[in-house]
This record gives sequence, structure tokens and C-alpha cells, in this order.
Amino acid sequence: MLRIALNRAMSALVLVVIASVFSFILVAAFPGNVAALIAELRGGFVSQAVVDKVAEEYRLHDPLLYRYGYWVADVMHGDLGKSLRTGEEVSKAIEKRLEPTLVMIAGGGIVMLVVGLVLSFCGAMWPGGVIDRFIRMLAVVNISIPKFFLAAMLIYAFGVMMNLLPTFGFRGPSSWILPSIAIGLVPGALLSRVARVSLEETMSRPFVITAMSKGFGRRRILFRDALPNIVPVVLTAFGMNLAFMIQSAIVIEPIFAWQGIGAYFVDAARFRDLPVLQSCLLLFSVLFIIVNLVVDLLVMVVDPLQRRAMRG
Amino acid sequence: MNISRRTVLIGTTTLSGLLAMGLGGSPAFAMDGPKTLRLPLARPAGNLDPQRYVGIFAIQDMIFDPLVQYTRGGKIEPGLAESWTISEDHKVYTFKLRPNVVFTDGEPWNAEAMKWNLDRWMPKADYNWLQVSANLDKIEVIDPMTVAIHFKQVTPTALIEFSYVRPVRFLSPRAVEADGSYKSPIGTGAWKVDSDTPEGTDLVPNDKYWGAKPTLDKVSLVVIPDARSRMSALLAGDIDAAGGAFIAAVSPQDATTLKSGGITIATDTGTDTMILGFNPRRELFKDIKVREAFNLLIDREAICTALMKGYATPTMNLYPDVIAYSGKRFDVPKRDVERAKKLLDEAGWVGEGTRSKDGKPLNVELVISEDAVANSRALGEVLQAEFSEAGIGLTLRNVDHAARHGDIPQFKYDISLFITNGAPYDPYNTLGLMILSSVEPGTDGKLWEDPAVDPLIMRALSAPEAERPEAFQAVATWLHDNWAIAPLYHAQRIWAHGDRVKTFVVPATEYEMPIKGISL
Repeated sequence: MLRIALNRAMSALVLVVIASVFSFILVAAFPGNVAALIAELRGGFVSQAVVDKVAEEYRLHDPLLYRYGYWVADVMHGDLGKSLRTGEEVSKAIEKRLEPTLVMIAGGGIVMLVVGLVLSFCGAMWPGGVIDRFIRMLAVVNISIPKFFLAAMLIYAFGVMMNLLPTFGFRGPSSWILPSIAIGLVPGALLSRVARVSLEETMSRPFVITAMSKGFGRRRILFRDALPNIVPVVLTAFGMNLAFMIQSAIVIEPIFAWQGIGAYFVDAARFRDLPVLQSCLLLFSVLFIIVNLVVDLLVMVVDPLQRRAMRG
Repeated sequence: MNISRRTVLIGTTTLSGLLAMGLGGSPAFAMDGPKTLRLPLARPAGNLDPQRYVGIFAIQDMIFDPLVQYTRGGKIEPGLAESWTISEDHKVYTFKLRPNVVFTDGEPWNAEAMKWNLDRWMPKADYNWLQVSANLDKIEVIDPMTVAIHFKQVTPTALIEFSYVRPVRFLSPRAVEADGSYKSPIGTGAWKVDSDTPEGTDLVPNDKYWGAKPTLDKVSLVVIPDARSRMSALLAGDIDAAGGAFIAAVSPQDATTLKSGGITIATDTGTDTMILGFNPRRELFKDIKVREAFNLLIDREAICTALMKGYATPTMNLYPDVIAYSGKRFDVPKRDVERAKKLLDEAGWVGEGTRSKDGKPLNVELVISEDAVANSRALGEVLQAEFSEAGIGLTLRNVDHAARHGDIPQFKYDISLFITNGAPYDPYNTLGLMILSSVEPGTDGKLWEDPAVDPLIMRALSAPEAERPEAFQAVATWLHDNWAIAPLYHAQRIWAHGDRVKTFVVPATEYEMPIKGISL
């Protein structure tokens, strides 16, 4: 078990390195002159000489590989660098902004799980019926809605028209509801499809027929016998989608005016704030990999097939 | 390992349930006080150091006072200087400082504090875009409340420049670290910072303020980066007003939507001009006939009505008439495709479909940037359609703020959209920085450059008051007669506010919050 976990962690580390190289190259290859932007923050009107001086100072003219090297060396020392725009230490800024992002992903995770399981079980209770078909349609519609549009609609419905919830801000639980729904509803719909399909598959297995012939009701079989069987599949899909939520946060956070990592990333991209972009991307990859790792390990624990394979 | 599947399932479900309970049943927004004005910011306030270019102008303006104040129409009124005299040769400005003024940390405002502040930027080359910095000879403390500033040459822009927000506003000499670097936003202004986070900035009245006391208890500025979200917040009553080009801009389209939702729209004449600028270093635009043809192909009236929803006035002038010495209004030509085609023919650009000359097709690239010039994408699409009628192939290249800042000063474009500096900077800045060819292009780029117009600009920039109207008119006429630029419109300045606001006055410049004249 420990060895498998270590193996996974090692391959995760390799993934992080690859991700960091790619993200660095992508970011550095962006068009746009960050030196001009920095120079402008210092002295208003900017001449080419000042721009060159700034570029020199930040070693922006050095070859890409060298710059990547400087950055990696700093990160190894636990130094994520300073923001080019504000001069603030990136690690401190990230620390300050981690809370909203984690709250959003946790809230989104709950919404996803509730929506996914409720929809799939309702469908499986009455397969092929009106409810099942309606839920299937709902899921497809949900999957097709762009998240920013869903967020805007939610704000308009619950914030503007009904005036029930705040339209923006990160100020206590009532302000967490809409962002959690906005980020969790679409993955929830996806999850419901996955769960529904595996339930259907499980319900056609011989042990279900046996249970039915013993006279157990459909509900009892679904919850007592089928549910544990779909846990590994649902857990894997849940983990995948939870990890993807980190990306969605980039879109959703600015809409709800949450100052999380996603919003920080967007601001940094606008300014070509390389240290911030690098650090955010690194954080995203690490979070993504950790979530996947945890899910993999959990699946090993709950799936008897895998457990047995490990012992064997 | 003895965890059953069911245990995991029950565990996760209970955990989710508990978390879900934590989410529900919470109180709504803690209501702010009745005298709290809630305004949105498109981005966080940032570093408010008055000598740096990071923070939001309008917040710096609330905290830090100017030496003299710019008011509507370019009139200069006393600020931290109670009065001033100008020497006969126009090279020495002597300021009598306002007595009994203190910074919010208790430090007195006097000649020493003024000199300390001016020494931080005036002698430095970084600030030479300001005439007062470029022409500075010396700063002389005459007595504790009198300071004379000596210039090497006549500096007609001095008073206007001393009204700017940055880098000229005054910081407490104690609000810095031991090495002189900025520490905290301590000024003499009507407001002081109560709290400042990435989510927003709260300001409260400065009880030591020398001028009229604010009628509000608090100004709560909240960061809402998304324009649609700001609209929703305004409609829901979560904020009181929105607007200001550099605060939380409301576009003409948004204004129309908000109006239909029962929100009041307050507008004022804009102080800047949207201009289609030709790259002066492209061979194509050295031909005056081409420039005239491009000018004649634009339907300015339609752009103002359809795109700007009536919140703009068509123009052929560099400056709107609210800018001092903006001169006489030129007639806005009707769109004339036939004449434009004839001009292009005469210039040697001929042929069916996309025109060509010596085998080179007439393809022109328009660089647009929604970040830097709001509305430029829609405008670009309109121009694309209008130019294609005369056989000009217009391609749009959409870049963001950072890319524009790289390309524009290096003339990597054929045509682009520019906005003049506006009040309080104009009429001086746009001419001096964006047209005068002897000045290197800054990040705003060049609207046009031609050694022929340089002497006219130099004369206007240094003319004594009596000669200024005529000197500025000469520049305006030259630009107009040579079709050097294609001015499009003067946009109105739009603010929107909800019912909680009883009276509202659009501020004099884009660098101020709408606090004067507001009541809740």
C-alpha cells in the first residue's frame, strides 16, 4: 500500500515538473511587453530607454531557459518570487487568497455530490419513466450551459429579482451559496450521468435478480446493494470533476467578486505578471495532482477488487 | 485495513451534510450604516503611494490634497496653497501655504513638508513628462509657509500640473520607511483609509480636514471585476452607484440596460476624444488623399447613435469644447463613399474587390484592445464594414493591454484607436506627448507626427496666455486641413445610481470619486 502510494507520489512529482515547464513556456511566449507595464507603474510616461532599463533589471532579456532556471532555483528555496505589479510576495498573496478558492471548491463539491446522487437515484428508482427522461434531459441541458452564463443567471434570479442572496462578495455563508451552485451544478449533472449509467449496469447483474426473487424492494436493493458497488466509479468521477473545478474557479471567482486564486491568476495574466502566473499554475497542478492522488488511494481502499489485487 | 465501503459512504454523506448545514441559515449581508456610500471598483485600490502609478487615481485623490485644485472647465482654485504669485518673467511661482493644516498622523503641513514631497519626484528624469519636472531649476523655502519654485524656462502648464493626482500630491513625511520608501497612505485630504484588502477599501472622514467636512460617514469601495456583476449588484441595491472610466466603467450598452431596469443615469460632457490614428511611419498614410479617403468613409453619426446609444457626439476636432483652447468646431463630414473611392483612385490604389497599387493589395491592420480602449472591438467591426465598401481590406487584430503597450510605441500597427488624455491633462499632454515628433513615443503611442507641425505645437505649449487661443487654433487647423487624424467622437462620461442616492453630481474629471454633491 505504502509503496503504491509512494509510486503515485513520484509520478505526480514528474507531472508537476512537466506542468511547470509547459506553463512557463506558454506564459513567456505571450505577446506583450511586461517591461513597459512595469515602467509605466513607476513613472507615468514611459520612453524606450526606461523600458530597456526595467527589462535589464528583471532579466527579461535573458534566454527563456535561463529565466526558467532562476525561477526553479528560487522555488526550490521556497521563494515564489515577488509580483511584478505590486511588489507583494507571491507566497503571502496566495496564502491570503487561498480561503475563498477552497470554500468555493468545497461548496461546489457538495453541490456536485448532492445533485449527482439525487438525480441518478431518482432516475434509477423509476427507470425509463417520465422522471428518468426528464432528469436525463436536465443533465444534458446543464452540461451544455457555459458556467459564466449560469453564474450570471443565478445572480440575476436570486440576487436581483428575488433579492434573496447577495449578488457578490465573500462575506459569510449566505454569499457562498450562489458561487457553490454556479461551480457545482454542471459537474453535478455530469456525475449524475456517470452514476446513473453504473447503477443501470449494476441493477442488471445476477445478484440483483437474486435479491429481487427473494422479494426485496427496488429501493432497498438500490441503496443497500447497488450503491456500494458504484462507489469506486462515482468517487473517481467526483475526484476528476473536483480537480477541474480549480479551472472553473478562474471564471467564477471574478463574476462573484471573490478575491481567490482564480481571480489573482486572471489579474496576473492581464499584466504578464510572470512570477504570479507561474506560482498559480504550479499551485493548480499540485492541487489537481493531490486530488487525483487522494481519490486513487480512496478507491483502492473501497474497491475490494483493487484491494485484493494489491495483496495478491 | 478495515474500512468498509458503507463506512466510507456514510462518512462522506454525514460530512457533506454537516458542511451543507453550515452553508444555510446564515444572515444576509450585514447592512452598512445609513450614511455609507457603497461604490464598486473594477480592480483593487493597489499601492496608494502618490508618487507611484499603481493605485486608483480617484482613491488617491480622496486621501491626498493638491497644491491647487482643477475645477470644471480648467479653472484653477486654491488647495494646499492658499494663494500664489507668478514672477514677471513667468519663471518663478511663489506659493503661500494654507495654515493650520495637518496630515492625518498629526504631522504639520508646511514649507518643509512641501519641499520634502517635491524633492521625491521633481528632480528625477522619470517624471520629465511633466513640464514642471523637466524645467525645474530649484525649490526654495522662503519662510515656513512660503515656497518658491524656480523654472529654467517659461512653464505655462505649471499650475495645471500641480493639480494632477500623481506624482504631485502630498504624503506625510512620516509615512515612509527609514530608506524613504512609501509605507502608508497618510495625506491631508478629506478622507483616510480605514481598511484596505483585496476585496475592497473603506474610507472614513478625516476629522482634522481643513475644508468642508464630508456629509457621509463612510465610503465603502468593493472590488467587482466583472461589469455584468456590477450591473446586477446595482440593480439589486447591493451598491449605490457605478461609473468612471478608471473606477468601474459603465458602457453605453450597460447604461441602456440599467436605465430600463429603473436605475438613474447621470452623464456629463466627456473631456476626451476617440480617434482613429494612422501609423505616421507607414508609406500608405504619407499620402494625404489616403488619409482623407479614410476619414470620409467613417459614418460618425451612425457610430454615435447605434454603437454609443447616443452617449457620444460626432467630431472632427482633437479636443471637445470643454477643454481650454480647444478652438472652433470643425464640420463633421457626411460619409461619402464615392469621393473616397475617387481619392483612392487618384492616390493610385485601384482595382475591383480589394484595391491594389504596384501589385500590393490595400490591406490594413487595425489593432484593437478592449482592455485599453473600451468599445474598440465593436468600433473596429463597424469600420471594417465601412472601409470594405471602398475596396479596403481591414483586418482586426485584438490584443490585450500588455500587448498593446508593446506594439503601439513601436509602431507595429497600420491604424489603431486612441483616446486623448482629457482633463486635467489637456490641451497640453496630448499635443506634447502624442503628436510632437521630437518626443519619444510613450505607451500611449503617437496620433501623428510631422516635423511641419512641431513648431506650431512648440509655440502653443509655451505661448503666454494672451496668445494661446490663436496658437492652439493654428495646431488644430493644421491637423484638420492635413487630415492628419480621424477623430470619431467625444463620449459622454456615464455614471449610474440607484434610489438610495438622492442627489448626484458627475465629478469634474475621471480622476475623482462622485462624492462632492452626493446625498443619501
